[in-house]
Amino acid sequence: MRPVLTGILFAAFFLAEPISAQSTNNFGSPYSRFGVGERLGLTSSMTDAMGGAGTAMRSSLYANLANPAQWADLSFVGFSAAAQVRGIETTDAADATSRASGGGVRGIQFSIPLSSRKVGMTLAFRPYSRVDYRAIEEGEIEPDEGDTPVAFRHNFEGNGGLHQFTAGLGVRLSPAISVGASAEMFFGTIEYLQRTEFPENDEYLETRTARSTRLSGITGTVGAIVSKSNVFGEGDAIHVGASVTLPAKLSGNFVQTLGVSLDRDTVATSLDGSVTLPLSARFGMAYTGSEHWSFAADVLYEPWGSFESDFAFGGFDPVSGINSLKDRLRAGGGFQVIPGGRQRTAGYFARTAYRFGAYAERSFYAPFDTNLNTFAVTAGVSLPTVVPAARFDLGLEVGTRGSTDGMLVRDVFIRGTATINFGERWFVRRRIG
Amino acid sequence: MSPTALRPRSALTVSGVLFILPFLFLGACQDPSGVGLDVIGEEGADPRVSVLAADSVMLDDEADITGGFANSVTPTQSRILVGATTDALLGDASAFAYLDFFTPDAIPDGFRDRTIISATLRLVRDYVYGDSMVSVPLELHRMDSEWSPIGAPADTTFDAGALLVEATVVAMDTVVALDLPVSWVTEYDAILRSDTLAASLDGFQLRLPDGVVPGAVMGFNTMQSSLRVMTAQDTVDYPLFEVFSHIERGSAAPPPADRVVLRDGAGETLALTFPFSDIERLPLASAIVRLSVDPSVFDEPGFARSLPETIVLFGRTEAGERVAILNAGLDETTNSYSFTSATLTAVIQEALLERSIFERFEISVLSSSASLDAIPFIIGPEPAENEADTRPRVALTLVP
Repeated sequence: MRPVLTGILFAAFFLAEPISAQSTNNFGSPYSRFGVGERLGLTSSMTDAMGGAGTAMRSSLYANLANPAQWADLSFVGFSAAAQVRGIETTDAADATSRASGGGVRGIQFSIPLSSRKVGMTLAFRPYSRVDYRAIEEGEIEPDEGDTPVAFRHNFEGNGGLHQFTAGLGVRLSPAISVGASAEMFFGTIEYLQRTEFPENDEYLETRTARSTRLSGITGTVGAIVSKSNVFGEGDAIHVGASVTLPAKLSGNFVQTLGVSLDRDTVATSLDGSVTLPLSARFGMAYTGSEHWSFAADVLYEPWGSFESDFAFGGFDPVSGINSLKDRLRAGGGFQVIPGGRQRTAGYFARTAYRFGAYAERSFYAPFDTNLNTFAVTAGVSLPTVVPAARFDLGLEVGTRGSTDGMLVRDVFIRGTATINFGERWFVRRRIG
Repeated sequence: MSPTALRPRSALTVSGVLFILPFLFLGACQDPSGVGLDVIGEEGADPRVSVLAADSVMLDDEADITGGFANSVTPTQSRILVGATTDALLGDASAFAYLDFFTPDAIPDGFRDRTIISATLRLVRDYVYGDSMVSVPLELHRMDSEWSPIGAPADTTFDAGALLVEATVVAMDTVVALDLPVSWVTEYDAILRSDTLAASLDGFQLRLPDGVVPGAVMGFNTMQSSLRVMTAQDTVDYPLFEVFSHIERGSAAPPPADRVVLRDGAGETLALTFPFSDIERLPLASAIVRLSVDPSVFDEPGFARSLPETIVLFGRTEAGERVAILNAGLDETTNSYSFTSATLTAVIQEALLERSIFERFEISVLSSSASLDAIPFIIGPEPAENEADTRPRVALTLVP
């Protein structure tokens, strides 16, 4: 089994990164232009495959980042690393299509049960948002003194995004109640680049104007989960959870550079300021029916309508008053089934977890005053390995965003993820019988 | 191996294939286009061309360097000048030249063992300034001491020795052959056949007799001219090596209005500045410096004056350092010189950002080809609306 596992991991981590590094195709949706970029929300490989519903989903193996209260359930020292590949096809009203693709690391987590199933700590690094659009505009200019027209091509490219580093604790107050809190550090650079080429004339240099905003700041998340056991039968439970990430005021520096070819050292403008990310509130319910079935549902609310910034971003300009940002709403749900439950003697496929889900989202931007919705289905499998507390998770997400009405575009996207979740018991007191 | 043992491997394999499927989908995804441009909302204004006329144009002093090497060693000098003429328009001009030789790489077998019986200085003319029909008396003097043309300005003089040859040629002659006297051949027979030619032969001075003004200055191509040496069996051409032209130019008549005349060999350069501060700080894709000329200024039957084929654009730093940026050739269709290159664009981009190391541009005739050429630049007047600007100007392709 190891060669196969090794091969898949190789594909996940070492194949995804080179794809990410190819600037010619490492692009995504034009909608990533808005705000601080397309919101990403890794919670765990389990809940991602269940429509992202994880606020109330409890697990002793997965450190679910949707709710720090859940970390109180940890019983294994765990390490998790996720990689992804993604593809997107964008279509406009004229039925013109553009395709883009990319890949990269989706997140890394490290969790420690300081006291098994009572107190757990998690450290995590994951992307918060991503800007990765590209569009081109072509035309001709008339040089002076009757020279022949010169073709040009504007490339509008967005790069970067915000990363999120999380560190926090979850504590079980009673068998029914857990609470948690974490510190969230945001940092990253969002860059809008206009690259103008003159592909048919060597005497003209490629020019670049880049507007980069570097941001960093800290906020906090609090969460709680309340569980009720033996609701419909022995061993089942209903869980209700909520978490809130407080608004984050990020300090930033905006730099505009311009130049020719690869030389972008020329600083044209530099400004300091701040950006306030809105709070993020989650509420979820989960039902763990038995050893075999789990169901979960979540809603998420982020009031991007109250986004504040001294800097201009896509859909937001504090100087001109443009603000196309709206409150973000997301609802998702899914289920997991493990045919063999916890029976270690069950067959391999019976011990494999199968997950399905779906979500709907109203995006936090409304270009041309039109709300944009995303609908997606998710699926995944969690494969047992020779290490009892280690799972290899594969996930798939397929969805559509927006529409081709007016000047809008519709994205059809697909994303594949591979996550290794490795758990091991530490701090176990040796008992001599 | 039991079927049970195969299951995990099969499951992982199937799952792995499922995971790889997106890669296959993504394989063809390299197709950026204009889709989504409206959503992105960038205001991609078309690149625009802005033309700036020079806000100052003036002649300034700059030593004319007319010495160099006749072969590929730098600095090269491809022409020597000899002659004199009166010129009411551009000023009287006179010139004389210095030249020496080196032993060619290819020498026939046995050449060094045979006695030299003759030596002829063969000069290939490629230039005439003045009246091309006149006869030009020439004198060839020996040089008795070392001289160096490197870095020597055009008004430099080296001491010459005894007269060796006198001849009169027609300015239009394509080839001038000056037979060296037998006494000189005998004296230098051994040296010409030795390995020490460069150290033992100081070359010649080619000049007019004192006080003679024939009405033309002849230019000889240094790379095609040679000292032809013959034995009873062999003919060997010794290439020119170090060459230098001493040039004197008198005062020119005032040019017509809105014209300024840059004269080669007169120690002049045309200094230009442009009002770059009038232009927004924008990325610059291309810059073309254009200089229009008015050849009609030179019209005079029977008097040959020519525009230089190549001129050079320099940048002058505040510290006085002069840096060559690029050359430009004459466009005879438009009667203009146009400078454009990536280097020039980068230089002007820095100027737009007020970071230029140059305080002004300068124009000179290419120094590696000595001449008495002159350029009547058009510097005015300011054109009327919808009329072409022919003043010194720079066309900037800016990307908003």
